[in-house]
Amino acid sequence: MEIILLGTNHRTAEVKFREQLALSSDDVPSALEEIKKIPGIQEGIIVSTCNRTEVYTVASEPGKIVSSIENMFARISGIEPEESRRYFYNARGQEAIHHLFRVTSGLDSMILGEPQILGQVKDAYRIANENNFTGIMLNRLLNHSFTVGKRVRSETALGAGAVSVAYAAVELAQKIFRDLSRRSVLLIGAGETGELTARHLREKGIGRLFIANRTHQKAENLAADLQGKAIEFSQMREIFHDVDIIVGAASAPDYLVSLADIEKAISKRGARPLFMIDIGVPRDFDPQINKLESVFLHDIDALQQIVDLNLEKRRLEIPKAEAIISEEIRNFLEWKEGLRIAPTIVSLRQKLEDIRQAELKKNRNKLSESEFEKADLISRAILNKILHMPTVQLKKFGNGHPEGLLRLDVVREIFGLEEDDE
Amino acid sequence: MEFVISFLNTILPVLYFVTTYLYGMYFFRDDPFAEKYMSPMLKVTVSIHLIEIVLRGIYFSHYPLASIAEAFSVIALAAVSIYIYLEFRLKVKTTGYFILVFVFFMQLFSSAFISFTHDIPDILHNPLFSFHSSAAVLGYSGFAISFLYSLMYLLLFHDIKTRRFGVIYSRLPSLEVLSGLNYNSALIGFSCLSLAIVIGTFWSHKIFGSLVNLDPKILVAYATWIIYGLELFGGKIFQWSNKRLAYLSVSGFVFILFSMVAVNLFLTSFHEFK
Repeated sequence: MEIILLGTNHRTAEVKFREQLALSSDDVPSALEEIKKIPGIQEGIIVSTCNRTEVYTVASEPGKIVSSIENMFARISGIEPEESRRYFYNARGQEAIHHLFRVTSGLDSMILGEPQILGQVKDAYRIANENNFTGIMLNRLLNHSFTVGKRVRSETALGAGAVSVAYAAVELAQKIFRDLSRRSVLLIGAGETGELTARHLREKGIGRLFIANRTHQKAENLAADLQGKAIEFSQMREIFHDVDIIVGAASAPDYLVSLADIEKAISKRGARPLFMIDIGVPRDFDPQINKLESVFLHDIDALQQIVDLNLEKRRLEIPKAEAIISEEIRNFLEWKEGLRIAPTIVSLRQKLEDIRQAELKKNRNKLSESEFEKADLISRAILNKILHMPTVQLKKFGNGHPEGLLRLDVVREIFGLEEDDE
Repeated sequence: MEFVISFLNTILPVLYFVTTYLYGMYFFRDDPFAEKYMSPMLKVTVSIHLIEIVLRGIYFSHYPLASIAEAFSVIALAAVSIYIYLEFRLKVKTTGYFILVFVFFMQLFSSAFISFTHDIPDILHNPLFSFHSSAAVLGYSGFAISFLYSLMYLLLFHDIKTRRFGVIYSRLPSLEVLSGLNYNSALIGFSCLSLAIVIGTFWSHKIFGSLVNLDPKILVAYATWIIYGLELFGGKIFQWSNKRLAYLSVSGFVFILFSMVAVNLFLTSFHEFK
């Protein structure tokens, strides 16, 4: 039984090819059915996101499995098999396990340490499970990979710090204000980055949200989506004194907000801090504003600086994450090794023999020499009789029994053989 | 008994050094080992510190504020106690390093210069003295903590304003939290100093028959009271920025330090208990 991986991701294929191969969650079940038809495959799962499409299978005779799956993808995507082979990578056994653990821990992601991938792999596992295509091996492997993902996130700083401009802006706001729910924000410009920043602020529980956009309808739409309030673009200056954060994302040719605008607002708002984030290119706010004592003005370069520093910090965590992965690979391989018949029979016999010896030892002083010898003989005979049937059954599991591995695992679990092996 | 007190007094700076080191490891490197053990270590150190002061008071039969060295030890204990309270209340541990560096040097000075003697002026046995001096020491400890949080505030303010996103930016809590800590510790200091002044005035009236006393240390206390009163109440009335309040707190504590040094070096008065 071998675990086999075939996949493509942002490192091996350009977006054009990844798009053609990406499967929506509605398409995955039919692709799984196709894979089921390939002879030799017993279990399978498809992980498909915008940056990767990977198939993990368990097969007794790996042989031509890889090329069969490649051909299947060629059929689905319409790409010539010869061409598609250039973008695919494959791995077996420990190498495939290592890859999956790197994926769930975020080490293989385009943005190092991003958290969404863990949920995406969980969804993929759920779909494979619902389509009855997971068995003992993938059940264990996938659950183990989720543990790895969680351990890496909790024991290292691989997911710490903002790694997008929009999130860096929110992180900065949290360095100025204690409780964002008591603060209000004005978003100028309803473009993509501005919207993302406002969305992140909303997720962090920001208080009131005002949106001003040249096209008022766009502001209305976004305000409805984010439970904010749209205001007329020409009237935005009237609320400068009333908000704590101003996000400029309009990319106007000239400065939209001047030093005089903010000085006027400060005369009304007093010394309360005002945080201004300029993510427009060209910039929306006059840089002179930063000279005002109670104003913190940051542009996109400053935010990018935070992102770069955080990414560097994440990169420093890679060795720690790899150490966790190596440890968990060892644990998984130990479990997999235990699924063989002979070691299980030996462990089971040893376990029961240890119990027999312990009981005899406990009663040593209560019995005479001859009584002890009799007890030893009788208990050994009982033990052999008890073990006869399980031993015969266990040997059957090894001879291609359809649920052999699963039953072996149950035996190991109910007798606690794994704990003993550890 | 004297050996035990002397031993405890000697190991206190060592214990504070280890605790400060752990808090430093947590602040600069986010070390998980330090994070796990620093708070328990701090509590053990503070407990030993308290035991040492109580034993010293009992064995030498006086309230342990007979000299500047003794006062420094009590200020260190009071400052660290206020910090533990704030750490518990606000669940912010990254500022501990700054507080403990101050506490370590206070205790180091105290342990180096302390002298154990039974020869204590009678005035120190007066119960009013213990209330008056405890309130004053707690007051000055509050101002010390307020000073340290103001320094942290100004460092973070400077780093955010000038786009330096280093360890200060990533490890200190928000400006608003630091400002709140500055305000709360100044408020504790101000309340305690007010109490010390009231008790002192009452005591002065009892001994000297006068409510007004122009002893230099008392004048320093009045000036300190005005500075911090201005920070706490003037700030709200005049709507000063948090940065200005932080500067006021720093100036207040620098004033206290210089005044106390000047008073103790160049002047003598009943406050020195000669």
